[in-house]
Amino acid sequence: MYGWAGQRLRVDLTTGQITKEPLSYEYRRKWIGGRGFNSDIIYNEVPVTLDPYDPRARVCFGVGPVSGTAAPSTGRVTVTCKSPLTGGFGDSNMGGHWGAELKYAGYDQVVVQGRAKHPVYIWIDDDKVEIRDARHLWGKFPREADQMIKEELGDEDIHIVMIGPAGENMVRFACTFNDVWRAAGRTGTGGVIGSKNLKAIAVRGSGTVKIANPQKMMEVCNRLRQAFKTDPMKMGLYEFGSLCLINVANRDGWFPWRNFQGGAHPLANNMSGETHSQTVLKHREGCFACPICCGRFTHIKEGKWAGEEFGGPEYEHSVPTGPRVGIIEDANDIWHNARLTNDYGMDGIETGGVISTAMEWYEKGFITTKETGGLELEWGNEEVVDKLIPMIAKREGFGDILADGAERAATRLGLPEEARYYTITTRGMTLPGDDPRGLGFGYGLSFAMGTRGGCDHLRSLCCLELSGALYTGLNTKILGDERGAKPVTTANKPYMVYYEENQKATTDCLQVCCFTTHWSYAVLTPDQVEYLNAVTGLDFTEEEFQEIGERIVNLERAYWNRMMSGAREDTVPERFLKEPMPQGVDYQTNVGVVLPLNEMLQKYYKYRDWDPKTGFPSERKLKQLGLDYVARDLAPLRNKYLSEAEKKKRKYYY
Amino acid sequence: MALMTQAQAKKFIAMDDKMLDVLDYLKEKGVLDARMHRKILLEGYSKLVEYLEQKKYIKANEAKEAIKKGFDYLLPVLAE
Repeated sequence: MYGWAGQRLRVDLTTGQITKEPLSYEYRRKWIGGRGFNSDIIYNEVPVTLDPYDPRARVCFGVGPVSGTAAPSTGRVTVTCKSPLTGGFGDSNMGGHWGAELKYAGYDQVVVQGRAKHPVYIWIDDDKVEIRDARHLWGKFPREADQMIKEELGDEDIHIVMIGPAGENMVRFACTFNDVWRAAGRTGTGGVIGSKNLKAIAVRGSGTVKIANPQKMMEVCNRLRQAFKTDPMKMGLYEFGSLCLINVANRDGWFPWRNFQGGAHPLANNMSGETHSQTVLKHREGCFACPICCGRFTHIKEGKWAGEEFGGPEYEHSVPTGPRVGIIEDANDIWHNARLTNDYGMDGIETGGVISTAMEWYEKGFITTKETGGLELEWGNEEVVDKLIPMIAKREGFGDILADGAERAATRLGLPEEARYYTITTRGMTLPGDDPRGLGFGYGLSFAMGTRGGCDHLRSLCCLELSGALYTGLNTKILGDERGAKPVTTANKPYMVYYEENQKATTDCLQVCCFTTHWSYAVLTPDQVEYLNAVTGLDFTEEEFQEIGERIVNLERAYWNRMMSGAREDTVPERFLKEPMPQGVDYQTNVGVVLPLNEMLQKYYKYRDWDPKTGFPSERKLKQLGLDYVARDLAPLRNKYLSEAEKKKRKYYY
Repeated sequence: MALMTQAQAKKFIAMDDKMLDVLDYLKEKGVLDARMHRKILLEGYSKLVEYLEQKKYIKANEAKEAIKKGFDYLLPVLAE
């Protein structure tokens, strides 16, 4: 067998049973790997009624057939579970080197189930797999525990997936790390891992990936690496990391100022990639086989946080606990907050989202210091944010309420319906730091349709909209003209979202980085198919590749449909639909814009062949994709979704 | 042979998002079968141009221009 390792490792932490399951040719051809393998397991093995923290729930780690090869950026891994934040389908993926190492150890996927009696970690040393005591690691930051495990195993070169204290405390948006700083941030995968009393999975692999056609593979990889040398997006990402977007976001009005009350601020440049690289950048870091190296390592030199160091930040990691909570004057406060969310192991987006929501509730009078335990949640109050992040991670006081996410917090606080206007969530998850009134209407549509909740730039990734204008002719080649390259237009957006969702899903099966395949278009779908075939020796076509993506999108969608989440829930926070974008800077390009979501939604359903009344995939579509069993699952639920009883239910999380 | 009228071409050009409508129309006219309709939808506009050239609905130089200029060029050509 070429490409794939050909087996899944399954670890049951209740029984201690460790099994290796072969992955058939048909299975690999149907799902490719990574996200595809994981989504299949969640759909089939985790009932929609199960509590995500129930020991019977699964958490999956998937890699793909090209993981660990010389194709661009092949170290990624997708972590998938039933999300404790939304209650629905959840996944997130991360860079680093762990994915490649797992492949070298001889596995395409790890599935963990059950719950250990006390904290443990899993040690995968090629064929040898052990469950080891982790009581001494519990409570440690990832950077500490990573070093302790390496010392314990006597190997500095192992790669470790890890949770922080927030995951141990089952914060509903705790994330999963590997190589200390690389986070699978979204949907709360870290909480599920913590609920299993699992601290880490350490991997050492001494094997290789068998390549069917090495000469062809080298030709393709050399060609693609040459293409990166002049790629415009690569230049920005290498020089300034994803913070290269700050000044663009401010100009185009998608900078998330005060929980999206505004989209631009005169001081945004304080936290731009340009400023960061001149002031606190210590060095750049790259993931496995990455031709871009967007990773940053930060060392704060001045002020009250002087001496702090951490891997990061990213754009999405820093704007939520910066401008979204009203902090902009001193960028060191923003870097410090990003460092805190990293060390405690929480999704920076959700952390900033829930704090900014609480700040807006405080501003509007829905809560007072009585509810917050004395914390004065004023915009830009760094002292409070600095206190709240650890309180959330430790589930202390008001932090315990926020640790359940904004929607559950509204329930726990007994707030009136109108307070939910400020939660800025879709299907229970907060949106990333990108205002669709400026970032683009395609993104707005994709936020409404994301199969892991209100997200995101890593799901649909409407980069034909974001960076399409930098690649002359690309929008025309795919969509038929260049109009979609303009953000604030509905032109071509339904087709763009349909196309890019499919493409992203398959990219996540290969487990390569979207920065090398969508943000920058040095690698296009035909290139991906070419190296996939060179590695596996198979004959995938571009059509088949895109169809696999479509299959995955439909499977994940059906998981939500089984939870009675469909067309009524396909929306974005009302703020984006109702409030015209205010002016924040005089050069802002989107003043007065609102998101015309409904104009795009109906057309999107047509592309998907989903029923516009229910938002459920048609039986015809599911059968076309080889998902007959899903069609059978949904058949009795279609009318139920349209029943009066269901219509009356308001669902904020599941 | 014209595959559509100029009025139809203009109607498509004016549409905000036209890929599915154009493909549906060409399928109805027997230019595309269900299999090709699906393939083009999954792969994108350039595959439509490739197919039309291959089946001699458009000439090589027209296909080249259609890849550069998009539907605004292609649809009037299909109406000639």
